[in-house]
This record gives sequence, structure tokens and C-alpha cells, in this order.
Amino acid sequence: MVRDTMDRHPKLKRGDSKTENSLKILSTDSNKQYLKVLNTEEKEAQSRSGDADTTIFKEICEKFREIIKSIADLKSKNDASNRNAILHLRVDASMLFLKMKKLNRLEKFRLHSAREKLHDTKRQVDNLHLQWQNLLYETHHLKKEISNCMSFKSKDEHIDLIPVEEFYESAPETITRPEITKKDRHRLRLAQLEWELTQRKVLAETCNELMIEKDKTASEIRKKKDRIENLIPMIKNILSATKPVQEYLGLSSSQIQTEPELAQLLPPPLYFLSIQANAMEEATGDSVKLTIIGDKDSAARFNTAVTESIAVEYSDSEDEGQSHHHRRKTKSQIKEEKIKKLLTKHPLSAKLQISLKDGNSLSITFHHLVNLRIISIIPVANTKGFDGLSCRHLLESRHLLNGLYDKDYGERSPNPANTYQLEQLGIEYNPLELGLPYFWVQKLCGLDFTNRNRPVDQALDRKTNAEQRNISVIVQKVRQHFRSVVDLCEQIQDFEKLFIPMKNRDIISYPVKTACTLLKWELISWDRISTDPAFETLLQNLDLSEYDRFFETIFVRNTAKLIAKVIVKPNYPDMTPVFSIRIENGSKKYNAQNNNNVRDMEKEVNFYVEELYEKLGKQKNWILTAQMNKLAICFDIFLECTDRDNFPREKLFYHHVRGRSRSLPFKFVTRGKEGLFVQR
Amino acid sequence: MKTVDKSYYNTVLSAAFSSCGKYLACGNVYGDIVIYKLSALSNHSVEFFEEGLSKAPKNKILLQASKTCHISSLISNDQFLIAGIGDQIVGWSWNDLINAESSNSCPKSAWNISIPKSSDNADTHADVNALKITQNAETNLSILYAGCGDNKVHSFSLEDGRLLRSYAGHTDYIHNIDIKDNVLVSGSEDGFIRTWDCRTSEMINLLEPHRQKDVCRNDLGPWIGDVSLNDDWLLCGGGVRLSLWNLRNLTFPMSVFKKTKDDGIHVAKFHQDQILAGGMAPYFSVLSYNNELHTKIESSSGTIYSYAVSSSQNSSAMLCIAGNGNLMDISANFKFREYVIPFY
Repeated sequence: MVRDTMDRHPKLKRGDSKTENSLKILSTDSNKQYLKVLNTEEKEAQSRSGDADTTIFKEICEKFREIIKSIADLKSKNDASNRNAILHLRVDASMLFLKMKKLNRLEKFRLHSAREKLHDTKRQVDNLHLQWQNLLYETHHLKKEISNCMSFKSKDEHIDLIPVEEFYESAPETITRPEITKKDRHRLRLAQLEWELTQRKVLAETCNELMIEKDKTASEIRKKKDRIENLIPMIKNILSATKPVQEYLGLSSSQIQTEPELAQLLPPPLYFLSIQANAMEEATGDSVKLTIIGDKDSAARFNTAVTESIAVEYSDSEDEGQSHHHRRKTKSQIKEEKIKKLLTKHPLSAKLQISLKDGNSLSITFHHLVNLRIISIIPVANTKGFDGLSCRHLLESRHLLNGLYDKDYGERSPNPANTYQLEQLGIEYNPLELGLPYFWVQKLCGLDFTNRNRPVDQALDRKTNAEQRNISVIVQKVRQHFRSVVDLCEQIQDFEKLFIPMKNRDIISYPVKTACTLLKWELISWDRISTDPAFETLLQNLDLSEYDRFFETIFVRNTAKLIAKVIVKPNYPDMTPVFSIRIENGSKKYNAQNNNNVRDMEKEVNFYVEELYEKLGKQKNWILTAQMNKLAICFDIFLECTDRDNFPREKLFYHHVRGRSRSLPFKFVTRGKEGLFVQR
Repeated sequence: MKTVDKSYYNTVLSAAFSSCGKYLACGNVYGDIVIYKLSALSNHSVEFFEEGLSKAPKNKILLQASKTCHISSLISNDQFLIAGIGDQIVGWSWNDLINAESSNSCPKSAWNISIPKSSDNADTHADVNALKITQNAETNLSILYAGCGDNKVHSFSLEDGRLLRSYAGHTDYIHNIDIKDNVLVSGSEDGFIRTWDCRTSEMINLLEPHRQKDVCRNDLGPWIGDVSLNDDWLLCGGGVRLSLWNLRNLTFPMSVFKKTKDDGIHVAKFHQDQILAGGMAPYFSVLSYNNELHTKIESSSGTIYSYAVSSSQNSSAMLCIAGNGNLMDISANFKFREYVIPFY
């Protein structure tokens, strides 16, 4: 800036340098003098006003012009006299000139100082301007910062926190500090975040532990898989090695592998069953047929879906997307889905057809409940002509095979794990919907849920345990049982039509006429038995339950009436039917409790049934008819012995009563072609 | 084949205490005799019932006396346990029975007597429904009397099993008999009570309770279920009501007991100065001579057929009641049942 002003005043500089040069020449005294002069001149210039000097300068210029004019005038006259005048004038002019010079100098000083002043001010202004701009910039920057801060998004807003109420409940007092947080929302938030953090830490730890466990299991699975895969070549080797043996035995390998593709899609337990059934069919040529029901494609799809779902379940069961997906559904929907999943049946089922010689047949459909891991069956009887109420009840699927093994009623799942699974979803096993999961069915299909603590398993001795694995024994048993049910139905059908069946009459009946007639036969409910006080002791003695069938039958002779409740256990005829008798004769009512003869009658029909049983030989299934026949005759004898006036004696017997107990002649003994009744 | 349990339809027809009072024998319709050792019971141990169930071999012997016949009657003397089985009277020595208890073997019978077959009807069953023993104080000879299904009472010498006399006259089988001072009394299904002179087998008196309006029960029939004698009185009951008769005047009953509310009397006995009665009713009655009902002992059976009182001098008297059930009731105080023991 200084240079700048120097450049603007080249004259002054030149003058300065001239003066400096001259100053150098001048002695120090003169120099001092000069500086003194300069100072005074400067002061003079300051003290004088420029405007006044201008007017003075103009006046001097006027005077100078006049002098020059007058000199010129004088010169033009060219007069010698004028020479003096001119000289005079010249002196005046020079004086004026000096004055002018002085003024000029003063002016120069003034200009110089003005310039300096201007320069100073200008610099000051520049400075201020700069400062202002700096401040402006700063404010702008701060404003920007503020807005930045204002628009800053904190991460905590993205964290899902538990609701406040829950937070106060679950978190410890040291974290919640309700006295502070209740008032201060910010502190509350902080406390919540702190709690969330501790929670997450704990969860992360458990997560880690589980991950480690998972890795362990995965490695185990891998090991096992490897082992199984290693087995394949060995098995192949064995297969190839056995080929000559097979050929020697006349079994070509192609013959063995004729099993249909569908069978290979069966779930393992049903496959196990189908192989056994096929083997049995081949070996014995038994009239048993196993067919596989279901669509091949859907089975294949199902199988792959199952393997995939297992993979998903085990690899990344904690997939977030999936869990979010679940969260969106309502609780009931999830539950429904879970129930549906748990109760899934495999699309393929095996149907075992067992036929009897008379054309009636039984088809048992085996279902695999994939997630319950059990097998259930639905037995269906294909019979003709049994349309009575009692028969239809007997042939119902859920009653049909109840008596095959003791206490095995197929009501509950044999897999102990299912109890928990079902309980968790708040449902119970419904055999009507899902089929009957008998214990023997599981064994037959190679599943074993034996538990020594359960009564149903304790009832099994070693022999039956082995027997239940053997399909041929089971089929034999099922056929026999079905035969007995069909025979029972045939008898009951006749009872419902109120006559005693004629079949096997020669073995069953006695060479005597029965005077009483059958009036009624009907099915009665378990409730009527369980609430009847007369059954209190029988209930315990026979271990009665709702799985047994109950009937009521009435015989009449004149005014006398015999009412009997008949108990048919599911394992008929192994367990023979049991009768509970009541007799009404006029105003008198007898039963086994108040009358020993009625008790003896029951004993005759219930306990001495073994005599009838032996007599029946192979026709054991007709024991009910034999008992009914016996009951009718006993009723006749009872009336003929105890009410001799109203009921004339038709039966042949020696004594009405005998012995201390005055017992009646219920026992029949043959004498030649005829026979007679005696006391025991 | 399975069916109702055997015990469910069990009926105990006879009972007898051993003369020592330590053992109780009971016989049932299946031909089995059970002998209980009562030592535990005499100590008034309440656990007897449970012990009897769980440790059965320790306290009882089960004797399969017959496969086809009922054990209709039982009696005991110092030496023998005597049972009427079908038309046989079988005796076991108590020594054998007691030894069998420890050795756990089935004792063999010591002797048996067959009831003589009557010629008129081959199919008549000579069940031995009642047994009584008398001992002659002078000769020390024991005589066994049997009231039988062949309508007669037979007497046998217990020394050699010889038939001494037969007392014939009834037209139906004999239900029960009693003896007091050479007087034998028999009650029969035919509704008559006959008293006999033991020594001559001549009938002394014929009593027809059913002819008495008070005593007769038409719907139940005239049969006599039980008779008892003491010095002055005769007690009887059956289809007819329980009634007390003066032996010196048998035309009218002294008292007729209507408070038993039974459908037939099977047991009517004198015990000290009381009358005991049971039958087709679920309780056992203890009455006084003048028609007061002292107690009703509740019974486990619907009908009471058998009765026994221990007569040993060592211990207090004990009463056993049984009937058509598997359970037998025991009472020592004659007021209520104290123990219930099962047959099987």
C-alpha cells in the first residue's frame, strides 16, 4: 500500500530523491535547517485552509497575468523607458511567482497529508470490511451447524423397546428408578435403553451357547451322514456278492425289485408294513391284500417338502424374515397352522384287506401321522345285512378292534411326547378324526413306545410283545376277532328281532321247550351302567369301562318279567358276556342282592358258562346265544319252583329246592335222549 | 376263557370253630374248606383282615375237599374236623391239619362215612345238611348225628364209623338238627319238626309251625330252616317265622319273632340267654326270649347260611357268620362285626 502511494506520487518521490540527493550534499547543519523548514511548512500547510489559498492563488494568477500583459504591452511599445518599468514588473512577477511556488508547495503538502489520511482510512475500512465478512461467514457456518444438529437422527429411535408398563414390571429397581424416570421422559428413555442393553447381552450369550450346541450337533450329523454314505459301497458290494447266491436260489434280482415305485414313497413305518405284508402274501398265499392308496406325485412332493422343511428347521430356524412373517399373522391363525402341521397325515396310506370265507371283509387303513410320529388305523367292516342299532354300534370303526389286546383301546397316542405336544396347543387326540393309534399297530409298523410304567405295557408279557411284531399272527388275530364280531352281530341282530337264533341250535339248546319269550333287546349306554348302584361290585370285579358294550334284554312269561343287563367285553368271546338279572313277579322284585336264587341264576349264566363254552367246541362265538338260551330256561325254572301256583311245572326235575341254601335245579344233565334239571 | 371271578359267586354254607378255639373252618359251595388260624384275631389285632389277605398261607389253609359237591355242614370235636360233603361224611385229624399249615401240604382225610343209599329212588341226594356230636359222659363214646337229604337223620359211632340208627319219618330233606339230653329234634323242608328219642329212634312229638296263623308265611312256604333245643325251649324258623315253643306244651308258640324282618330263617340258635337268628336278610339278629331285639349285626352277605360259636373255655366266645358272599364276619361281643375275613 505504501508502494502504491509512492507510485501515485512519482513527482514527489522524484522531488524527495532530489532533496535527498541535495541533502547529502548539504552539510548536516543545513540538513537540520531543511528539516526544520519542512516541519514548519508542514505545520503551516495544516493550519491554513486550502480554499483560502485557492482564492489567494487565483488572485496571484490574475495579478501575474496582468503583469505579463503589461510587460507584453510595454514590450510591444518597444520603448526604452519602459525597460525600467518592465524590470520592475519582472520583479513583481517573480515575487508573485515565489508566492505561487509557496502556495504550490503548501498545496503539495496538504495533498500529501490528505492522501495519507485517505489511505489510512481506506485501510481501516478495508480491515473492517474484512472483519465483517469473516463474521458473516462465521454466522453462516454456525447456522448450518445448528440446522445440521437439528436434523440429526439418533439411532435409538430405531430400537424396538418393550412397553413402559412391561419395563417397570420386568426391570430391576436399580435400572428403572421410577422416582426419577416417572417425571423425566429422557431419563426414562435412557433407563429403558439400559435395560434393553442388558437384556440383549443376556440373549446374545444364550444365542452364542445355542450356536455352539448347534454346531456340535451339526458336526455329529455330518459324521453320521458320512458313516451312512460310507455304507453305500459296502452294501453294493454285498449285493453284488450275493447275486450268485440269488441266482442259485432262482431269485433273479429283477424279481426282487418288482416292488412298485409307490411303495418307495411310503413313510418308513408303512414301508416296513408293506414289505412284511407282501412277504406274507408271497409266503403263505393268505387272503390278505395290501394296497397303497394315494397320489404318487403329491407323495413325492410331500416327501421333498418334509426333507426341506427339516433342513430349514435345523439350519436357520432363527431366520428373521420368517419370524417377522409370522408376527404379522394373528395368534389364532398361527395356532391353527401349528395344529394343522402337527396333525399332518402322510398323503400315502396302506390299506390291508382281510376277508372272511363268508364274504364279509375288513379293511384297515394305516395312516402315518408324520409329526406325531405314530401310525393310526381306521378299520372299516364291509358287511351285509347288519342294519340294527346294536350291530351298527358294534361295527363302528372305533369299537371294531378294541378287544384285540387288553386295555389297548386306541384312544390316546402311544407316543409319550405327543401328550406334551398336544397339551401345548390345547387340544386332545381325536381318534375319530385321526384314526386309532393302537399300541399293537405301532409295533406292527416297527415303532416301539413301550414303557414299563404304563399299565397297558405291563399287561403285555414277553410273548405278546413278540407276537405284536409278527404280521401273520396279527392278521390271524384280527381275522379271528373280526369273525367273532360278525358272529356276535348275527346273534344280536336276531335278538333285536326278538328270536333266539337257530344257528348251532343242536349244540346250544336243550331238549326242552322254553315257556318264556324274548320281549326286548336293546343297546344301553355306559352312563346307565356306571350310575346304577346294582353294578357297584360288578364294576370293580369286571373292570367295566365305557369301552364295554351294554345291552338290556327282557324275557316275559305271563306276568313275570326278567330284566337282564348284558355286559359284552370287547374281547368277546374270550371274556364271556356277563348278565345282571332282575326279576319282577307280581308285586315282588328280586335281584341277586336280596334273593339267593337270582344270584344262583346269575352264577349259572355267568360263572358256569364254561360248561356251555366247552360244549360249543369250535363255535365259541355263539356263547351269547347259549347264555341267552340258558337264561330263558333258568327263568322258567325259577318261576316253576318259586311260584308253583301260577306257573305249572313243565321242566323235569326231582326237587324244587335242595340243600341248606334251598337252591333251584338250574343244572341240566342228559339222561338218554332227554334230560333233566338238578341242583348243583 | 375268562369270566366273573370265582369268589364273586362264592357261598359259605358251613362254619365251625375248633374245640380249642384257635381255628375257624368254613366250607363253601365249590367244595373248598378254608381254615383260619385265629391267634392274630384273639390278640384283637386289627390287622388281621389285611394279613389274612396278603399273607394268606400264614394264616389259612385252603383244603380242596371236593370238586363237585358242596360242603353243606362242618363240625369239630377234640380230634377231628368233620364235614358233610355230598353223601359223604369226611373227617380230618386236627393234628394233620395243623401240621399241614406249617408244611404247606394238602392233608389227607382221616376217615369217611357214606350215607346208606335208600332203595326207593336212586336219584335222591343224601346231602349231609346238618351234623351234631354227642358224648356219653359215662362210656366216653361219641355219636355223630347227620341230618340228610334222604329225609332221614342217621347216627354213627365215631369210634368205628358204624351206622347206629336211622330216624325216618320226614317227607322232605332235613335242614337242621339239634340234640339235648337224648332228645333229637329235626327240622325239614316238609314244614314239620320232629322230636325223637335218641336211644330208640322213636318219634316223640310232631310239630307243625306252619299250621299256626301267626307263624306261617304263605309266600315263603312251610319249610323249617333251623331248630334248636335247650332245657325248656325249642326254637325254630325257616319259611315260617322264628318262633319259640315250650317243650312241655307244643300246641302254641310261646313267642313269635316278627322283628327279624327276614325272607326266610336259616340260622336259629340259643346262646346263653339270648336268641340268635339269621337268614335271608343282610343282618344277624340278637333277640331276647320275650321278643326284644337286642342288636342287629350287619352282615357282608345277603343271606346268612352258616353260623358258628367258639365254645372254648380258654377264650371268650366268638361268633362267625357267613352266607352268600366271599366275606365272613366275626364278632366277639355279639354286638357288631369286628372283623371281616375273605374266603379266597
